[in-house]
Amino acid sequence: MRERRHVTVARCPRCGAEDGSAPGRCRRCGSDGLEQVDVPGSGRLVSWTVVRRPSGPFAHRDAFAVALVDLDAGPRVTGNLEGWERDPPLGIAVSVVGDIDGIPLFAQESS
Amino acid sequence: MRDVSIIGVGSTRFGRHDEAAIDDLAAGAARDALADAGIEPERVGALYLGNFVAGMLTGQEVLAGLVGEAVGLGGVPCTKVEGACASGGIAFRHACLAVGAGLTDAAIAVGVEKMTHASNPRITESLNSAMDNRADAPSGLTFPGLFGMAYRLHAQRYGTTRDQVSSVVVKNKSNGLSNPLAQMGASLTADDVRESKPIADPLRIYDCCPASDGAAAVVVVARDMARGNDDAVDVRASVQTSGSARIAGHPDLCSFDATVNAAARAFEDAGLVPEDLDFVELHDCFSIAEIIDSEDLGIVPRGEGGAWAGEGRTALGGDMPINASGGLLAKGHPVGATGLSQLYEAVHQLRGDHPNQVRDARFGLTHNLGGTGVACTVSILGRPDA
Repeated sequence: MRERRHVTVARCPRCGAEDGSAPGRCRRCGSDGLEQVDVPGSGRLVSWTVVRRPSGPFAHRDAFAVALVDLDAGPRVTGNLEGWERDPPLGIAVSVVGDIDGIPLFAQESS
Repeated sequence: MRDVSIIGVGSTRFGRHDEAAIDDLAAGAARDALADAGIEPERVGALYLGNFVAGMLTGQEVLAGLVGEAVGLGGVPCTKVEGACASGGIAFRHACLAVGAGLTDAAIAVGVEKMTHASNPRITESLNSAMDNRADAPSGLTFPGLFGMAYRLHAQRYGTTRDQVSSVVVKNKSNGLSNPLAQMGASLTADDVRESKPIADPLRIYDCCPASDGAAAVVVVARDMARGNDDAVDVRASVQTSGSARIAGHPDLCSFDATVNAAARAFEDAGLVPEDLDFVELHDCFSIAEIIDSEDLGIVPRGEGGAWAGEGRTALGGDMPINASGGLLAKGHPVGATGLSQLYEAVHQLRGDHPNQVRDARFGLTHNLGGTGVACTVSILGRPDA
């Protein structure tokens, strides 16, 4: 079993909001000075798709999957998904197993 | 606010327009709308132009001023508005506001886009600018990908099937066959859709609206000016809302709160309920979007959008005809023009001279949705005698 990784999220020191994207300011209260905190990369697979015709900065890649994951720590994040060829059902437990150019790569939790 | 009416509409054919510059396309639609309205350009006190990516794809900005000059508006305020795929609907709402507030007795809204000359990667890149670039796009997500994810969740949660989703495509492409403005009407089967090229699972290429060139325009006047005009249509509601530009900013992947909120306000403003409508033109940028939109607008019970489509209840002659024009799927989606083209179709339905006429149409709704639901407009139009 591979090592579980963390996901870095932005946390607002004023209102406590956590954000899986990379905002310059808190999207809830507008504060700056966001803290980057590591949270466990485990969560639940909300949905996923396969980008069959990558373009732009992804044009060099073969078809790849994008997943939407609700982290157990709270934030909803967009990342990539390993093992989509096995048609993973929605709602399963997934965790971060690596990254592609800084974007978290999720895979189904091995039992 | 004063009541307002539409007295003129114009539209180019949607599709390839290699020969026309983007401002010429827009000016053509605007002239058609002014001619249809039967008013001189000197009487129009404001122009609002909806456009999304002219700067990126054509290098031409200041479209509002170019079009105002081209059609002879002579120095009145000409303003460009942008809200991704809802740009046209936003332009219309601003024309209604200008007239409703008494700033002018007549205003024109024009929408335009020119896309087909650009490469597919360039078009994808420009459309992706409708997302918050820091949030979802770095994962490689595209708009087909977003709606593919929504499709998968809708299918799991509500049991929506491939054939139900395909029935949206089959219906809209078929409606497009008899609409002379449509880019891509076609006679398809559910198998044709299922077997077409994969784009973003489960979406296939026939599930996606085509990029297009085109323009549409609408002339809005104070209701008093429209009295006795048999071609006038009442604007019963014109509502604009906003939502998150990030997927994580939406509580539910299978619903756009901007649509839900806009529809609720529009029905309240119009003093109507969904059952009062005779037809709907909604934002079917993807097949699954039509199903989600129909639920968000409240015209189909939540979770039953697939079943309604599959049973033909949203076809011409069904309980609630959706996209009798062919919608974005068949007409094409010249982004900035789409919201105004929906109004063009709705006005012809209410005048009773649409090529796919809904019988005895009295009230119709148009729905224009931008990006991830970052912007939305909903308008309700009615016959003056309704």
